[in-house]
Amino acid sequence: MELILVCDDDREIVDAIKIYLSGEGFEVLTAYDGEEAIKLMAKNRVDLLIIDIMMPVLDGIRATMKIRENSTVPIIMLSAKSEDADKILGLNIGADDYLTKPFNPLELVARVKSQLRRYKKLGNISIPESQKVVVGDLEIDDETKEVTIAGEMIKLTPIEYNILLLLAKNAGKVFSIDEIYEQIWNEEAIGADNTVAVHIRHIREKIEINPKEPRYLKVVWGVGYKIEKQN
Amino acid sequence: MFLSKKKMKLWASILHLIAFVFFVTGISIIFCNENFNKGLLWMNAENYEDSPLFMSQVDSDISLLFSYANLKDIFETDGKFDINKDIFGLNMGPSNDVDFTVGSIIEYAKRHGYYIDEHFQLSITDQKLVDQIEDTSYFVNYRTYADSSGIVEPGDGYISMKTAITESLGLLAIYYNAYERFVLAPSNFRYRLEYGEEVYTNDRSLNIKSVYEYGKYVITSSQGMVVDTNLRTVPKELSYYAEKLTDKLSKPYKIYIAINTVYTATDIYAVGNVNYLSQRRLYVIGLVSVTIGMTVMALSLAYLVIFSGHSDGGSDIKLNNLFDIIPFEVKILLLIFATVISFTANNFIGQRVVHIYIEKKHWNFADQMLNYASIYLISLPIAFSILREYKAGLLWKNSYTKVIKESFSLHMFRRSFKKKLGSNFLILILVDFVAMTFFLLTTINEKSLLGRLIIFICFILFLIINFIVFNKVYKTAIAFDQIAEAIKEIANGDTRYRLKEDEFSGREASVVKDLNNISKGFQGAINDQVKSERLKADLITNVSHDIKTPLTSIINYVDLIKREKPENAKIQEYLDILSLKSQHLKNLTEDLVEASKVSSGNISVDLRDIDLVEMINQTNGEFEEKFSEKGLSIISNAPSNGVKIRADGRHLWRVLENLYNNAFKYAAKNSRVYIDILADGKTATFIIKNISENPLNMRPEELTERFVRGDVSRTTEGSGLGLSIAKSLTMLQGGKFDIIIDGDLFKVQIKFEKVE
Repeated sequence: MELILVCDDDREIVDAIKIYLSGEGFEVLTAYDGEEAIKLMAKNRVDLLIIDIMMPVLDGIRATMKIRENSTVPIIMLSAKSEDADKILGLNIGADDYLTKPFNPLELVARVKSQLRRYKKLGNISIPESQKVVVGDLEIDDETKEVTIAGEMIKLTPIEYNILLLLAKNAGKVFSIDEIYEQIWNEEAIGADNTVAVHIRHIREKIEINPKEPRYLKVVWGVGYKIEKQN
Repeated sequence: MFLSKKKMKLWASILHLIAFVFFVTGISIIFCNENFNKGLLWMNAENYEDSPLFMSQVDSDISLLFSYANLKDIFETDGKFDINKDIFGLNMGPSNDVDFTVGSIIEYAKRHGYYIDEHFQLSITDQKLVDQIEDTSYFVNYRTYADSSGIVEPGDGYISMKTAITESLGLLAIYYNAYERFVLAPSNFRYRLEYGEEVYTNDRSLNIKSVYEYGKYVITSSQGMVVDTNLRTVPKELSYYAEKLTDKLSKPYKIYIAINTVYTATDIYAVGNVNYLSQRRLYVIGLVSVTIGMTVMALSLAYLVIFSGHSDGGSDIKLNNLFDIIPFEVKILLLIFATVISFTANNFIGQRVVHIYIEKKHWNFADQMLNYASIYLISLPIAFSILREYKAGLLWKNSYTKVIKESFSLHMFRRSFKKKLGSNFLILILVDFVAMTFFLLTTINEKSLLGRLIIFICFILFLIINFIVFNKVYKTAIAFDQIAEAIKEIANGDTRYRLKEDEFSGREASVVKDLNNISKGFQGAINDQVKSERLKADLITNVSHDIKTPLTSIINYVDLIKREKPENAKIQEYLDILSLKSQHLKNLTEDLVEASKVSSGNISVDLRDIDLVEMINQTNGEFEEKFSEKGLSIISNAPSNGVKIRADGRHLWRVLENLYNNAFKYAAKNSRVYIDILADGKTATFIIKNISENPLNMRPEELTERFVRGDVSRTTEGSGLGLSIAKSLTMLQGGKFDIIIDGDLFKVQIKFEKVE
């Protein structure tokens, strides 16, 4: 039973999150400012921290920095600040994920689960077999044609699978629609076509928690698509 | 005990005036002295006998003496003046030889207006009588006073009666003079000329012994070269004259000359001695007087200059009276006026009074002295008054020059460019005209070097004036250019452009100042606007943060209630509405923040090369299924080889997303959405067209204004910010965004510059 600490100065939000997490079978601790969160972190063996940024006494950014000094626990930031700069700051100072308010509670739960899986697996990373293509939590086993995200099986059509495999194998490289078409369909791309784009969108919907803010399959607008290289 | 400053100054003034009197007196004494013009050497000697004046007298007497010795033979017979002695003979016609005796020529000359004056000079009483003598030249038979050896040209042998008279009577005058000086009157000049047996003397007792008994003596003889003398300088001409006479007499000579320095006889030497001593004394007095006068004047003047205007109290300058604050130009005019008056007064009164007391030969000097003294005495108080004004720092302040200069510069400052240019040009023409006329007239007439020099200087001045005027006009032109440049810059939006005010003068300076103020004003206004846009954007961002937190709770709890699965179907329905509306609210806040950021330009733009066709394909891919939900089909038309533009992919995606969403929301169901990409020349155009479900009865511009939607009523989803954001973002990336409405056809056209 994983212990999750939820910290937000808005009690109703904390309560709502607690309801959702408890419903999923997590044990939940609550705190209402950064100081309290740090104290609870010290006392309990917390598995994951959900923390708001704008809080009294000690804000989420400074609390995260403090916690990161002696803990590798997954931290999901939750904030009304939706600008890129805020997200980048949060992720840079040690957060593992960043969600903007108002958020979809189901997405939050999904992200919590994803972070926990990754965190728990970190200790015993199995060395990937040669057929396996691994990009972060995304694993593609070309032998069994199985795709898993953080251990969860994903169902893909053959074309979607091929596209994903192509991009994952060449993680970091941008493929234009024409290139993808030629590689997958093995025929020359004739003019403008959005077939590939539609497939990509389908893949995103399947593998991403939030397809509009994809973590793996990214759109490089006006250029093509790529799967981000992950450390 | 010290005198007060006021008294000291009074005393200094009095002293100064006394010294001035001394000075004037001294100068007058020196000027009126007989020996003025001879420098100061003449008075070196204590005694007359040692002075150069005495020497020159001796020299001239020696010269006279020998002339006399020569003339004795011509005019005397047996040591006596013989009036019947023939002096010259002329051939006045064929066998008409006329001999003239001394007496006959004197008579003839007297009849024709000649006479010998008191200074033994041949003079003329009446020129008319002289003119009666015919100018006919006659052949000279003989002249006793001149040998004929000098005759070289045939004409030399002829003379007119006038010449004969001048020659013979000139010599007679000299003879008279010497006879008068040496023989007739008692003389202090004693001589003895011994030529063999012949002796010329005016003192029989004078011999080799007695000559030493007189104060000064000169002895020489044909035997020796030495001149024995106790004179300060040896008479240069003595030996020459002596030898010349010897040639004539062909006899050895002994010459004794002595001057009795006791001056027993009242002759030229006795008078000279008395004069010398008195003049010398006067000269010394004059010099001393001038020296004392000058020194005291200088000292008292210095004192007065230093302390003039200082009062007893402190160091501040006190002006004595109302006269002191009169502008100095008026003072100078007064000075000139007073000078003129005093000159006139001198002319009518002063000079006449002075002439009563002073010899005629000094009148000229006295008149001048009087005028100089008047000028000095008039200018002194005026000069001090100006000095006090200067010390008080009022000289410039009170002056009319300042008033004129200021009013002129004010005039210059206020004058319009037209008048300024016009007046400059007129001045130039006038000056040129006058100068050219002047040069033409003067260069034709002027022959002297000084005159030409002056003309040359004037010509240079003329060139300088021309240059100054040209420079002024040129500077104005430059200033105009600069001002025009500044206006252009400001008009182009560079509100920080400033001209340096101190580089301009006159009217340009005021224009420049105004211009700078305008641009300052603009800049301030723009800064304020930018600032207020930023503030607005910040405010909207902060407010939206504050809205988002409670919104999170609303969304969460609505969802929680849904999960409780309420039995009542109506509650389910209500919850769906709540869920939808809270989601809408969420979108609205996000769009609001974005719109404010985009419109205030508070957003970073990362421009890269982007293929517009690829972009459209990607976007079509994203929206195809969504569109098909509403029965919309995309009809896309793009060049197959791609169209490269320079834009920020993420921002452009937001633009397209908004436009596609717009089409999705407002296009008529089961209609077609046309997407076209055109590339022609330098521009790439993206066009999206659809048929609106509702009539579009509004102007296209209104659609891009915030919160305006095609459907007026606000029941459907959407914030009404979509097109506004799209437009702002497009412009931020350097593109053009146009909306065209044609009936129910809604068309958006975006243009970017193509990249090769």
